[in-house]
Amino acid sequence: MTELLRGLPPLLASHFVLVTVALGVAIVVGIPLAIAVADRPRLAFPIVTVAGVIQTVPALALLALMVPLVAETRGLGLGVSSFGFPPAVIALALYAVLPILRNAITGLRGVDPAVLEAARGMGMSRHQVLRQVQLPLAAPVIAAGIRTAAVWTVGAATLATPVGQACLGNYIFAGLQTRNWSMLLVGVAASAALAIVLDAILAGVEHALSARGSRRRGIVASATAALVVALVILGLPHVVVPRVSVAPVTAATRSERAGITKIRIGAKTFTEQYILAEVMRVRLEQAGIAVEVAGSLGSSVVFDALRAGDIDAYADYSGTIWVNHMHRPYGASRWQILAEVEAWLAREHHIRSLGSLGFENAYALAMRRDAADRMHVRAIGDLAPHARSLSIGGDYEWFGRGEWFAVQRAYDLHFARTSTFDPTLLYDAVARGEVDVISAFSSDGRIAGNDLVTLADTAHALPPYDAMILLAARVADDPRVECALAPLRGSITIERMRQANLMVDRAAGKSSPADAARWLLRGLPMRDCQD
Amino acid sequence: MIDIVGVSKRYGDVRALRHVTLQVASGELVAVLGESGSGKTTLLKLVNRLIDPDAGEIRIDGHPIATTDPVALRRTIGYVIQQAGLFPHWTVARNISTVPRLLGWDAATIRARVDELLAVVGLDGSHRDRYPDQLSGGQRQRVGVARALAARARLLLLDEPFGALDPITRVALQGELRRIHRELALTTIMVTHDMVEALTLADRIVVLYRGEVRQVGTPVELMTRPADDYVARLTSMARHQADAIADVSA
Ligand SMILES: Nc1ncnc2c1ncn2[C@@H]1O[C@H](COP(=O)(O)OP(=O)(O)OP(=O)(O)O)[C@@H](O)[C@H]1O
Ligand SMILES: [Mg+2]
Repeated sequence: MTELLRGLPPLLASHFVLVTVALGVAIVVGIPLAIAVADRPRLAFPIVTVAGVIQTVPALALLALMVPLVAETRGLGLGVSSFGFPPAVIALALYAVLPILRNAITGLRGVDPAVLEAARGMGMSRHQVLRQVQLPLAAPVIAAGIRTAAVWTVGAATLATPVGQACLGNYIFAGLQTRNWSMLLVGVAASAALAIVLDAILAGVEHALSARGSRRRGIVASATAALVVALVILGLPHVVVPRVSVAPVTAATRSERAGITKIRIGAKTFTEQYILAEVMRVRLEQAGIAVEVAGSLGSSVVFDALRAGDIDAYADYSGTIWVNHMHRPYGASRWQILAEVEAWLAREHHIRSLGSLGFENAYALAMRRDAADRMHVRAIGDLAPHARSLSIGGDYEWFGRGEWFAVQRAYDLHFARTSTFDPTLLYDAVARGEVDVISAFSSDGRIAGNDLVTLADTAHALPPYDAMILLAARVADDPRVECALAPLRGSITIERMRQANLMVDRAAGKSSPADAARWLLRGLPMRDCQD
Repeated sequence: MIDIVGVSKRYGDVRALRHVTLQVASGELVAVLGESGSGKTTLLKLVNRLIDPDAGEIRIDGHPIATTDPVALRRTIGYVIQQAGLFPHWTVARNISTVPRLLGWDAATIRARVDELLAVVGLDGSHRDRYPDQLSGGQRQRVGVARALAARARLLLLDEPFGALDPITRVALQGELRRIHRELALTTIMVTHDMVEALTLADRIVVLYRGEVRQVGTPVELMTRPADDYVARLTSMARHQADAIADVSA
């Protein structure tokens, strides 16, 4: 537990900064906008509607959408990174604008028109009426909007992890994926506590500002502003360099020699990725290179981040690149795909592949061993006569993916029912008999752990997914990186990867991804790369 | 001092004022009398340009106000709003000092002026730091008058300043208004729908009916020579009330 909590302060700090900056942007945009449109209903309606529509986009999707948007506009024309902080702040600010805008408009419109006319009648200019009368009288309603936005933003910010922004979501994503409930709980509790504290602070500020007595008001306003600025500055170092790893940060060993001294490793949101990132970390740190792990990244985010140089290395799968990025058809052989993917990466993106790690993490159909035995099912084709009375479960992507259509077509399968599950729950669902067949990942430890069998794909309907380490151009030719990582090629068998995944995923006697990584590396004959 | 010449104003189909002509001499206290919706408030707001007329012209000291900056104009005209219209988020002192602050007076001058005005309208210093919702209706009206006087405007517009007050407070405030008007040599236009108030306070009375001026005259002229049936009904009503009171007391 203490080890778990050691990662908390930097994540809490960057979460706080992320929320504060997004909220600040939303206030700076929302309130002037509200002032501009409050007495122009024809303008206010479309603007509030747009803000409302943005609000209906799930926060996770909004965050993910920002990444290509920032990338396509070349960092909004400012050259900012499409990874991490900028897309996260933009998405969260957009999300926070609605309550601020709507409350500000309501508040400004709610001021007694007689009082406004009195102000004009005294000889106040438009601007003076606004600043001296309308805004102060609307302030409680405006403040309520800001508080609502603040609480929402603290929650929504946990979803910034997959776009590469370190935040409390790192605990939640990693905890969910590795079924580490105490880790999940730390993330949830910390973000709930932050929301409560932030709301209480804002309530205090609101109370002090509405309190009668202008001197106190000034003091409170400037003290709060100073405090927020100070906290943001204190937290800033944790944001600029997303230090995402939930595992304890080991002392960075730096080399005095020239060459690469620091590497940022990415990982997608599942156990195997956390373990492979730790494998790379161990090897690189042994070679005297400091390592930072940005975990729980979205699948397309991590690829874009590597292309853009926001991260230096991560493990991907040949089939993912073949299908998602190269948009090539199924049906080629494992080695042909691997070769073409590597050539394409080098040619198009100057990304170097270190070759297959030795195992595949492909889509496979899996079912309970006893059920398979009863029905005499060994290969996918054997399912065809039974499928009409069977149900199949898949992860969020499965039923929209080409593999699913390809499998149905190749084996003429017609299942009675399909249901979608979170990947972490999929294996339990089939083990408990809630579904009969699932789309599994071939390297998942829970296949063996839950006594499942994978069905042979005799027609090669499912493409191969060789795990491979990809390196960005910056580090691709560094001799020590080469020395540390190249020997991993072909070093991990599917059985060992499954076992390592199971060590982390199982409910009892869990290991951390770092422990699993050390277990994987144990016994591998690798030379020292220090010199 | 104030020349209102052939002024008309309409709101959609409602003709709030039709061809109103009125001269107010310097130092005069003119009451504008009429039933609800007759256009009294509209007439006042035309003078400080909270609204602009559709036709006609208004001049102050010979200068057409249509060409003056409305914000600057309003700072030279004291304005007491129907139902006081105080700023609820400001103390009494801050409310009273509204226009001096807009004019950029220094803090010490403003403090002194606020004290002076509190005395003028008969409020003691303990009211300085109260908020409008901590005052009685009559005290709020007094603050409204003090606010209108604060920047030493020579022209005062009052929109039913004594509406909704108990008779004792009302009579006391009426007396104070008369005194202030005379001592400060103000030119005052006061809106009311109370005939007795108009008769006892004003130098001259303007009777408005559905946006039209029915009569302009001194209280005596109105009582003795009403211009038409409507004015006659108003004056006879006032007379009946006085008679009834005399009967009861006899
Ligand atoms: N902003 C406006 N829009 C439309 N009509 C208005 C507006 N202001 C006033 N009116 C109308 O103009 C007419 C005159 O209104 P005004 O406020 O001058 O009446 P008033 O004599 O002051 O009445 P009261 O004694 O009730 O205050 C009324 O019929 C009123 O409904
Ligand atoms: Mg009126």
